[in-house]
Amino acid sequence: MTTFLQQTFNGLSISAVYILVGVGLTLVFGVSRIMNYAHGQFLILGTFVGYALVSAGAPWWLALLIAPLAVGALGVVLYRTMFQRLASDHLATFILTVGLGIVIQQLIVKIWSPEQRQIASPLTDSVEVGGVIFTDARLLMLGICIPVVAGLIWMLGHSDVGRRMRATAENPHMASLVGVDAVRTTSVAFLIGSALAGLAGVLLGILFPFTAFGGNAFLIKGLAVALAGGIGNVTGAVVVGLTLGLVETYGSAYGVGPEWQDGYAFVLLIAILAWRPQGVFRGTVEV
Amino acid sequence: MIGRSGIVCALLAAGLAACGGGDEGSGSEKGTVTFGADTQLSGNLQVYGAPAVQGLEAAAADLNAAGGIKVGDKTYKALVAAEDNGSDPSAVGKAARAVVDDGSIAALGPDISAPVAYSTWKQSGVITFTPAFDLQATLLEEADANPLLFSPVPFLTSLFVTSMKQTAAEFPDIKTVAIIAPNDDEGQGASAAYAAASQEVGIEVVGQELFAGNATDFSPILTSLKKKSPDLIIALQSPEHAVAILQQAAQLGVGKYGLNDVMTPDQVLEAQGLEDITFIIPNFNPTYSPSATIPDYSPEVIFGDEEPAGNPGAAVALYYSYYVLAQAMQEAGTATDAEAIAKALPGQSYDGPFGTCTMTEARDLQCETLLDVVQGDKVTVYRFPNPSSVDPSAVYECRGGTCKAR
Repeated sequence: MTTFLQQTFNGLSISAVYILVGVGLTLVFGVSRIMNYAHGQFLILGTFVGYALVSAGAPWWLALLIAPLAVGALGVVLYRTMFQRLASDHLATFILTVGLGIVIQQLIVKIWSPEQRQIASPLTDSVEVGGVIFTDARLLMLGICIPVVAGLIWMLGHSDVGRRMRATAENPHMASLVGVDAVRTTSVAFLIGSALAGLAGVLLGILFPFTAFGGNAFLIKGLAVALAGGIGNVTGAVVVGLTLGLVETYGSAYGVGPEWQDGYAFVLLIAILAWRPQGVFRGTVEV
Repeated sequence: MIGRSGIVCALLAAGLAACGGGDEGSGSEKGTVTFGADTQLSGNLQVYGAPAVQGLEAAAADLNAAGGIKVGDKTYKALVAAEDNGSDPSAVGKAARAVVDDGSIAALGPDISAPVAYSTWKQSGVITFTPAFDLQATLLEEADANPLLFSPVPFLTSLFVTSMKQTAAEFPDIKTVAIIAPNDDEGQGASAAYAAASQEVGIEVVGQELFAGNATDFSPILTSLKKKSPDLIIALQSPEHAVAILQQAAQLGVGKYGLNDVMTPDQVLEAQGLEDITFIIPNFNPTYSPSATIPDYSPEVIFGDEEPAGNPGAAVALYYSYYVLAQAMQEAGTATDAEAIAKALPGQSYDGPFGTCTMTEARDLQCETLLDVVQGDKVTVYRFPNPSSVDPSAVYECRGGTCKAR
C-alpha cells in the first residue's frame, strides 16, 4: 500500500506539469485558433530563464515569478508581430511555430550550451508520512499548480477578461461588434498560456535536470491533454492532464514496463478520441 | 597586360589545381588527408559528438603545426570534415554519404544507427572508427570480414567487467545492483553487459529497467525498485538521465552508490542532491575534469584554456585516433589506400598529452583508464595502467581542482 501511495503522489506531481502545459495550449488555441507548436520550447525557455536568474543570485521564488512573465511577454510579442497576421492560415502557423521552436532551441544552446542544467533551490528535503516520502519540490509543484489553475478557471468564468475570452473564442467577429477588442483579448490569452508554460518550466527545472532538447516531449503531452480534454476546454485539460500523469505512473510501475511510459499516454489519447473524437469535454474556451 | 597564352596557362593551372585538390601531393606540394565524422554536433547527443570532433580538430591542428602528415616524400595537410546528424537516426545515412563526398579516408561513426553509416563507408572504402556498442560486437565477432572497422575506445563489454571488478574491489559492501537504462540499442546492450559483468564479480542484479528516451520522472521505477534494496544504482547513458535518476533515488532513499560511465566529476559536483550518494565514474580512456586533473596530463593541448564541454574522454580518444591513423599512413607509405593503412593501424602507439595509447591487434584503441569516485566535495581518482587492470598504478585525492597522490 505504501508503494501505491508513493506512486500516486509521484503521479499527481507530474500531472501538475501536464496540466499547466495542456491548459496553456488549449487556452491559446481556444481563443486564437492558433496551435502553438513552439509551446514545448516556451517551457524549456522558462527553465533556462529561471536558471539564469538563480545563477545570477536571484532567489528561486523570484525566478518562479519572473520567468513565467518573461515567457508570457514573449508569447504576446510573437502573437502581435507574427501569429496575428497568419492566424487564418493553419499551414503557415504550423510552419512558423515549428520553426520558432527550433530557433528558440538553438538560441538556448548558443547562450547556455547543450549541457544539462538545474535550478538551484533549497527544496531538497522531504517529509515522510507513513512510509510515503513527500519531497519539497513535488509538494511545491502541486502547491502552485492547484491555486493557479483554480484561479484561471475562476477568471474565465467570472471576470470581464474571462468573458471577453469566451466571447472571442465563440465568435471573434461578433465579439468585436459588441466592443470586445479581439487582438487585445487574444494577447491576454497568449500572455497567460505562454506564462503557464514558463511556470511549468521553472517548476520542472527545480525538480529535474534539464537540457535545451526536452521541449518536444512536453509539447506532445500537452497536445494530447488539450485534444483529449476537448480543445479549448480548460476543465477538460485539467481532468485529462491529471489522468495522464497517473496513467503514466501506474503504467510504468505496474504495467508492461517503464519504457512504455509514452505509450500509455497515447493509448489513453487514442482511447479517448476513439470514444469521443471531440474530446472528453466540449470544445471552445469553457470552464 | 596578360596575353592569350597567359590566360590559357592560368586556366590550365587552375584546372590542374582543381583536379589535384583531393589527395595525392607530390614533392613539396601538399595534399590533404581528411578524417570525417558522421556524428552528433547538435541535438540531445551532441555531448558525445561535439567533443569528439574537438579532439579530431585539435589533432589536425597539432599535426599541421608539426609540418603535416609526411608519407614517403609527400606531405599532407590534416583536415577534419564533420557532418552533423543532429542526433537524428534518420539523418545518419545522409551524413555518412557526405563524409564520403568530403573525400574522407577515415571517419568517426555515429553513436546512433551506426550500422547505417558503416554500410556506406564499407562500400566506399572508408576506415571506420566506431564508438557504438553494436558495431563493436560486429568487430569482435567478424573481424576478418570487416578489415576497415576499428574502435576508438576499448571494447565495452570487457571494460564493463573490469569496471565492476574495480568497483567491487574498492567497495566490497556493494552486494546488489539495479540497472536503469534508456530503451534503445545502446541502452539495452549496455544494460545486459553490465548485468553480466555484475554477476561475474558476484554482485546480485535485483532489477533491470528500461525507460523511454525522453523520460524525466524516474520515481515510478525507483519506487518499485526500493522494495528490492539495491546497494548500487547503475544509471546508464546520458548525464542528464543519470543525474535525474540518482537525484530521485537519493530523495526516495534508494541505493547508497550510483554509477554512470559518461559523466565527469565536475558534472556530479555541480548537480544538487547527490551529496549523500557515492558516485562512481569508470572512464574507458584518460580524460579531463577541471575538478580532478591528473598531474601528469596536459589537457591544454586538446582543450586549450576552455572548460571541456560534453564528454571530454571522447575528445581524448579521437585526438589519439587521428595520430595513430597518421602513423599508420607513414608506415603503409600511402595516404589513399585504405586497406593498406588499416593493415598498418594495429600496433600503432602514440605518446601524447594523456599518456600512451595503442591500437591493439584486436583493433580497439587502448590507453590507461581512470575510475573517479565522488563523495561530497571530494574526488578520488584511481589510475589503471590498461583497460583490463584491476590494481591501480596510482590513487589521487582531489579537492578544489588540486589532486595529490595518496
